[in-house]
Amino acid sequence: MPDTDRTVKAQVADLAAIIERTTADLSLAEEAGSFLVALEQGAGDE
Amino acid sequence: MSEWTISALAEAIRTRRISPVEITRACLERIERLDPQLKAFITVDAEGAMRAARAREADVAAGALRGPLHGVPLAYKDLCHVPGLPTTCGTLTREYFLGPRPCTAVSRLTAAGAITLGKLNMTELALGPFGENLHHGDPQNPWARGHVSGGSSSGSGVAVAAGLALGALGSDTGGSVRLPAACCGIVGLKPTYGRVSRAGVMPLSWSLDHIGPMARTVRDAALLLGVIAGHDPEDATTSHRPVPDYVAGLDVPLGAVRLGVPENYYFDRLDGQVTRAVESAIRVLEGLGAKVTPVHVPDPEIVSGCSNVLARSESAAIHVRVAKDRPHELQETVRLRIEVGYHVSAYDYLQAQRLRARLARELVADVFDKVDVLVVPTIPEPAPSYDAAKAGTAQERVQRMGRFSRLTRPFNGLGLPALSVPCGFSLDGRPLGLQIVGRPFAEARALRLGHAYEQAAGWTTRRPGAL
Repeated sequence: MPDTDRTVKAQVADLAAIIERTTADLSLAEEAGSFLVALEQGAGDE
Repeated sequence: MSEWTISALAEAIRTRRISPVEITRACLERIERLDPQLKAFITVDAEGAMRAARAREADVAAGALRGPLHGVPLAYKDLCHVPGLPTTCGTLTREYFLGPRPCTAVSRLTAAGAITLGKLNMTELALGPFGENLHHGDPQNPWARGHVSGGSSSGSGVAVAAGLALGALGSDTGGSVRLPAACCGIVGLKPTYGRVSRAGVMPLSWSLDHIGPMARTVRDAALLLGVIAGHDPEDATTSHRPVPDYVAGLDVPLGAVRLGVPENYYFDRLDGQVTRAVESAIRVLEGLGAKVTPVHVPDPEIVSGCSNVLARSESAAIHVRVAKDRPHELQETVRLRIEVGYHVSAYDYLQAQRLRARLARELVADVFDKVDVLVVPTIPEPAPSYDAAKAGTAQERVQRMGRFSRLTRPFNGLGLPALSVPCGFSLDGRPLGLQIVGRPFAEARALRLGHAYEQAAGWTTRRPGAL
C-alpha cells in the first residue's frame, strides 16, 4: 500500500475514533442543525 | 503612505486634505515597487482602481460622499468573487471560482466608498496555515524575509503590514485571518459565525468558514466590520441580529472586565517568547482595570477533532473536481487533506455537527458565565522560515500545520468571535499575537478591549523596517 494511502487511512481512523469517543451520550433532542440556535441563545446583552 | 490608517485617511479625504486619486496612485506605486519581492497580490487592477478613484474624487468635489470608506484603497483575498476580476483561489486555474453572485462583503465595502486595488495571494484553496503558494509565489513576511506570513490569507497579511493596501478581507476556516495577522503584526478579526455573509466567497467548509477584516489598528478593523456585518438574504446562515456601532463602542469605558486565562491547553507547548509576550499583555490589561480569572476550558482537542471531521468532508465535496480531474495541479499537502474527506462516513459527519452545538452551549455556560472574554496566544511560535515550514514528508507537513493552528482552530468549531492583536516581537523581530475571544456576537467587547490594549501597549505604531 502506498504511503499516501496509509496516511489517509490513518487520518480517517483517527477522526472516527474521536467521534466514537465523544458522542456516545448525545441525546435524541441534540439535532445536527442546532448550532446557529446555540450561538443566538449564547449571545449576551451586547 | 505606510503611516496612514483607514480612519485617518477617510477623515483626510472627507476634509479634502488628500484626494482618492493621490492615495490610490501612491498605493499602486508602492505595489509596483515592493510586490515583486513580497508576492502579496495575485491580480492588481490598476486601471479599475484609478477609474474608481477618479469617480470618488468627483463625488468629493460634488459633496456626495458614499460612506465611511469613501476613497479608501482596499484589497481582497483571491477567493472573493469580484465581477470583472479573476478568482484563482490560489490555484493554477485563472477562473477557479465563478460564483452566481458577487461577494457581498466586497460589495458592501464598495458601496461604502472603498476602492478595489486587486486580489490577494493565499494558500491554495485556503488549505494551510503558513500561506505558501507554489503557483503564485510564496508571500514574504515583511518583518522577516524568507519567513512565512501565516495563512491562508497570507497576501492579506503582507499587503496590510507592508502598506500596499489600507485594509483587506480574509477568510478564516481554522485561523486563516488571525494567523497571518499575528505573523505580520497587524489586527485580524474572525467574527461570530453568522455575523458576516459568505455569499460570493469560495467555500472551503460551509460549517467553519468566516469572513473577517484585516487592518493596521483595532479601530480600522471595527470600521470595516461595521460595514460588512449584518444579515444577507444571499447567505441563509447570517443572523438577523442588529449590527452595533463598533467604532463608537471603542471609547466606552472598559469597566471591571473579567479576563479569563485558560489553565489548560492554550499555554501548553509554546515558544517561551510567546509565553512571555502574552503574560506581559495580560499584565497590561490588568493595569487597565481588568480582573484576571484563571479558567478551565472544555477540552479544545474535542472541538478541533470535530472541526476536522467537518472540514475534511466538506472540502472534499466542494473541491472534488480539481482533486479528481487535475490532482497533479494541487500541492501535495492540499491533495492529501482533501483525499481524507472522501472516506469520512456520513455517520461521523452528522455526529460532529450534533456535537459542536453541544460544545458551543457548554463553553458559553461554563466559561462565559464566569468571565467576559478569554485571552490566549494566536500563534504558538514566531513565524517559522519557509525552509522549516516545508521540511519533511507531506504527512509531517500536515502535522506541523495542525500544531501551528492549534490555538485558533477551536474557535471556528465553536463559532465564537476572536480578535488577534499584535502583542510584541521575538528577539529577532518577528511579530507575536494575542487573541481576545468573546461570547457569541460580542465582537464589540473584544474590539473595545483590543483597542484599549493597543493604545496602552503601542505595538501597532511599529512598521517593518526594511521597506
